[in-house]
Amino acid sequence: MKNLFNRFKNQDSFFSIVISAIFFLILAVLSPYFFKSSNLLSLQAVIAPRVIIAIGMMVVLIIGMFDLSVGSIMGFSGIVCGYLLGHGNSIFVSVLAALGTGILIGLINGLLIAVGNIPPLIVTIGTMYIFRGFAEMIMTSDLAMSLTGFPQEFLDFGDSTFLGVYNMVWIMLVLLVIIELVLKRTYIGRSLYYIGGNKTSAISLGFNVKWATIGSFVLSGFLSALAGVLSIARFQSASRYLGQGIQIDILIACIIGGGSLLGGKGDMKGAFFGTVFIALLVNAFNLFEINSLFKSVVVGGALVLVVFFDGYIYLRKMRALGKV
Amino acid sequence: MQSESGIDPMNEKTNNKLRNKRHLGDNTIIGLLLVIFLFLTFTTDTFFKYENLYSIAYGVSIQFFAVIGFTFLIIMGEIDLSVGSMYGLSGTLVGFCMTVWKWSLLPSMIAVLFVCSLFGYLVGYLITKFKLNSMMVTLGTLSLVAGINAVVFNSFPAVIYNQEYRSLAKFKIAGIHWTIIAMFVIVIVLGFLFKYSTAIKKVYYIGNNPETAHLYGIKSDAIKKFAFTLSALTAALGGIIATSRITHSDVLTGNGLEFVLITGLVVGGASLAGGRGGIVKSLLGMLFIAILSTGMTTFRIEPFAQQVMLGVVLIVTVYIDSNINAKRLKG
Amino acid sequence: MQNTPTILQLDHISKSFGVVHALKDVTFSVKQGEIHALLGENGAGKSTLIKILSGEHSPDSGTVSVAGEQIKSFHPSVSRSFGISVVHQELSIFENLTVYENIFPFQKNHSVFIPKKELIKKTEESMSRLNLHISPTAKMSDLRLSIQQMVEILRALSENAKIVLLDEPTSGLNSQETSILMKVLKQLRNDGITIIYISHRISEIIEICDRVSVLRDGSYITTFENDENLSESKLVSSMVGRDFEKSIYSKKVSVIEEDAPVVFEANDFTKGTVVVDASLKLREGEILGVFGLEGSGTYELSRMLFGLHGKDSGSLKFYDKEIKKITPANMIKNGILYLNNNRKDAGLFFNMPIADNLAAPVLDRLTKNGLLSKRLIQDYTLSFVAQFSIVLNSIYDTPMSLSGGNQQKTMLSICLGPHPKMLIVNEPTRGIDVGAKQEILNFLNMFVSKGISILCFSSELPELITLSDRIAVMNTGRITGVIECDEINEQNVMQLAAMNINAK
Repeated sequence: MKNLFNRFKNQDSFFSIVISAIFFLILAVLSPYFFKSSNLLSLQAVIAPRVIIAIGMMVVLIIGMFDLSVGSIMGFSGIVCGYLLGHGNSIFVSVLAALGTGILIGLINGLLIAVGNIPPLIVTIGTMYIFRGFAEMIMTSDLAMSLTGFPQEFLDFGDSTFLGVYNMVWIMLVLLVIIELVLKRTYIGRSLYYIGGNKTSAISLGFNVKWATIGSFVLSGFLSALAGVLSIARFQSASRYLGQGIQIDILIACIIGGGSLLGGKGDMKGAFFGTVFIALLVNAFNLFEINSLFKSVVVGGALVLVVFFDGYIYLRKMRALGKV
Repeated sequence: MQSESGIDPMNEKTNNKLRNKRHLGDNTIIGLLLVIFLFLTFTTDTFFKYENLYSIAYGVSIQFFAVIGFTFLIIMGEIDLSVGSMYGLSGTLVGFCMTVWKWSLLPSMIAVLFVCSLFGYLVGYLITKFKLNSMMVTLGTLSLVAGINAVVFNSFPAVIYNQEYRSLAKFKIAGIHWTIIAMFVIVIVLGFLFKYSTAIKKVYYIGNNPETAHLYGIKSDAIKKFAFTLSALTAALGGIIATSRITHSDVLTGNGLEFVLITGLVVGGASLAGGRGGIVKSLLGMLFIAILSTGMTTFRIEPFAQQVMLGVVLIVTVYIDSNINAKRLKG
Repeated sequence: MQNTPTILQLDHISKSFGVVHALKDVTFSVKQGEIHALLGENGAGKSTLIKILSGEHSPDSGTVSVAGEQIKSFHPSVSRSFGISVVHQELSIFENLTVYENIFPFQKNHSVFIPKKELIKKTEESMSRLNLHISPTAKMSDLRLSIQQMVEILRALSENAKIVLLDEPTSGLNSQETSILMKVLKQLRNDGITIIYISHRISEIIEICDRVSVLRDGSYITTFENDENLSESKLVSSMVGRDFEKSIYSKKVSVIEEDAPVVFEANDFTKGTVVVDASLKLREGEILGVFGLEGSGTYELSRMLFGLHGKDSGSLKFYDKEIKKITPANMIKNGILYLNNNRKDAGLFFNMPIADNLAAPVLDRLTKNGLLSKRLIQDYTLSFVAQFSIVLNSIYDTPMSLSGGNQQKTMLSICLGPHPKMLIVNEPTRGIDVGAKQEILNFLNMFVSKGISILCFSSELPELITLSDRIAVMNTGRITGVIECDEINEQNVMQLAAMNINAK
């Protein structure tokens, strides 16, 4: 039993699980509104798409990079889906097109980074602005009119629950389990940890960094698009602000969840609990009527703190070796 | 070494040794500017008009302040992604001081500039003392400062600013807005200093090879802290003037500015890896972006499409920088 | 051992890098199932040989055969397929993963899923066979260096290695960990694995190796059988024993008086086990050489003295005044400069003009009215170009266009600019052709005649003997002795540097 607890303690995601639990308890005890079904339902609707994006972000973090374009991909794909639906296309085609868009943008990101040798920061900031721009272009044009009037089945899907929990939550859970399995039990998944942990050794052992990079960004793009589609199903319209600014939240969530900017660490439990923590934090703001504008302050401050701790630990290690 | 008559045999050898090898790509920005300038002049009849060119210069002259500190950081291989947020916050804070505390313009400006500089110093301190990644830290402060901006912005009623503040951006000397004159003066003075100041030269050493700079006694940490402070200060100054220009606070002021600055600097010839760039190059890069935007507007390309264009320009220029220039630098 | 087959045969291997002849016509063989040591000081050619065997480099001429089959092309995957595995000094482990994941990273023809239980079982089996007690699921970052090294050795074995090369395996280990390693290696030998043990720790070589091959200056000298006749001093002699008459090196005749004033005093410098209680005294106008083999701590000590490397303790006195804050800026202010080697990353600004390189430490001197004067920089640079005969096309070229020797001379100029009273020199002629070597050694001798005292850290013994008035020797982090000029010879120095300091 003690062995089991030690193994649990040593997980990368331990911290996020603990603070999520603490926050959950705080909210449950101190707020009478927390367990109201309206609150819980809206929490689900917020958490599920974010966790889905966080899955992709965590995978990219494992190989030592990050993706700042996830918000734009979410928004743009959502708009693509909405547009096609509004023009009478079937749900199947619209959703497929949206997911394809996400895959395509992820592919562009991956290629520019892996083959073009451009730093991930620049590439993903660039695609972030480019596709946010496209999204805005569509939403401020005449096309925007047609982005409503979705077929009823689509809206039902977004609204309905199964066993008291939204469909999107089930999708999220399935994805979490699948990706976690791949990361922990398959060679392909495990190779990401080798690449992120020691790139040069990984290359000399024959791991293919280029394909891993491209694959990771494609996954991130796909999942961001999926989150976009699920969001517009739930909220019944596509908004030009869909996904805007979400990337920093997700990045923080993943890092709190055990991912490291230096790569080689992170898992799906962390992606989930890290996101849950941030969502609970925002929920706390609402329930305790704290100005929600403080959210950016807290999230930005959290990133600074995390970068500081990450860097400080690394610095201590280097100092012990005398390299500083 | 050199004799009066010039017949000194060393002269020949010496003169040869003084030959300056120019690098390809160092001055492509001049070519780019020329191309786009001529293109727009000959394909439109609105571009090459005094009012148009003047308005471009005016717009750049306000953003230019933010570029000053940013340039120092990029040359040293660092970056400050929070300049946009700082640009926005400063205007909001001045508005707050003047509207809520009823301060007059000058004390408000001084207080705000001081606070923003202090913040920049703290960031610089953290980054140098703990050897943190400036990109990651300033990504966090980007959110942090934007959040503070939003909070302060919403804490007082949105008003049109008073005459005093509004006149800040409009102040003219001999018929020309002071910011344009300031921009040229600063570029000339700093451009000169970038070549002849010992302190600024050290910035290049640090950017080129931090370990070697350390080996020869150059105090990188102090210089970097200074640069982060300057970056916050100049961004704040630019933001105050920008807010004055639009006569009221807008929470979106400065949004995306870091993106514009990075693109401007890289197009102008700086490298994100450090060691290259300069104040003149930064200005030329900013001018290029401004002219490009104006040109796109003239061709009826809408603002968001321009954003797309800018993203493409950024990626393309960094691609060229990462691959062609990097290869050359590695020999 | 007479009839054991040869598993590795090297014939007439030569390899040069530019002007440096790393290996010259090396021929020797390794028998199957033996522990074969490769002995030689720095620069003898060991690391080049390792790189050829691991497939990173290909020889200019000569052949390598494994069990009779010649290696036709040189590439890491080829070496692996021939069963050659190298465990480098700097481990290439994955700290973020577990032990068994490090041992079994990549299988050819693997299924989709990782057979976790099977791999853990295999790991446990290997561990128990070698009498090791490491949990297969332990995280690498939690383990000590010696254990991490074991894991890397096991990884080499998991790839069905027939020949395992260990490069300086004990440089980070204490005596207990070393003896555990020795036991493991003996067990592996008994299992039929051939081990090539590259080291200059002579006592270890005698303890564990069946045969020893010696390299010196890129050439193969001989192979000793480890029988009763083999002694530590015999091995030491074989490492050195150059003919001084025929080389550019000559023994120095010192003119420094016994009681010359001490200008620089370093006391009790310690950093972990890398440098322990190192103290040095430098007299006015002398060149004090500091010699040590790889892993002896000379590099780290030289950097600690200048503030480039962290230390646990250590104090400095310069001209009887204590230097409280040991940082490069402070040292330069006191008149001490650090001359690095052009191979290391610090020393030159490779993307800036040579003139700017020279100006770096003396910017304030090259100003007129507070502003940098292009003319002053020009004259300043040209004077050094003339003084040291630096061959270049233009002073505005970057140092990348210079040869190794000229790069070193450029660094020399940079260090001389601030009129130093003392220089700390690190490997002054590493990787430079013979002609430039001579020039630089002459320059260094010239500096002392101008009143500069020099502390010269080097792993090239001949050059130190040419330069030094006295030689301090480092061995496993400690200063094992200081030899006066007339007693300096290769044997004496090498004894202090290579022999086990505890075995007295």
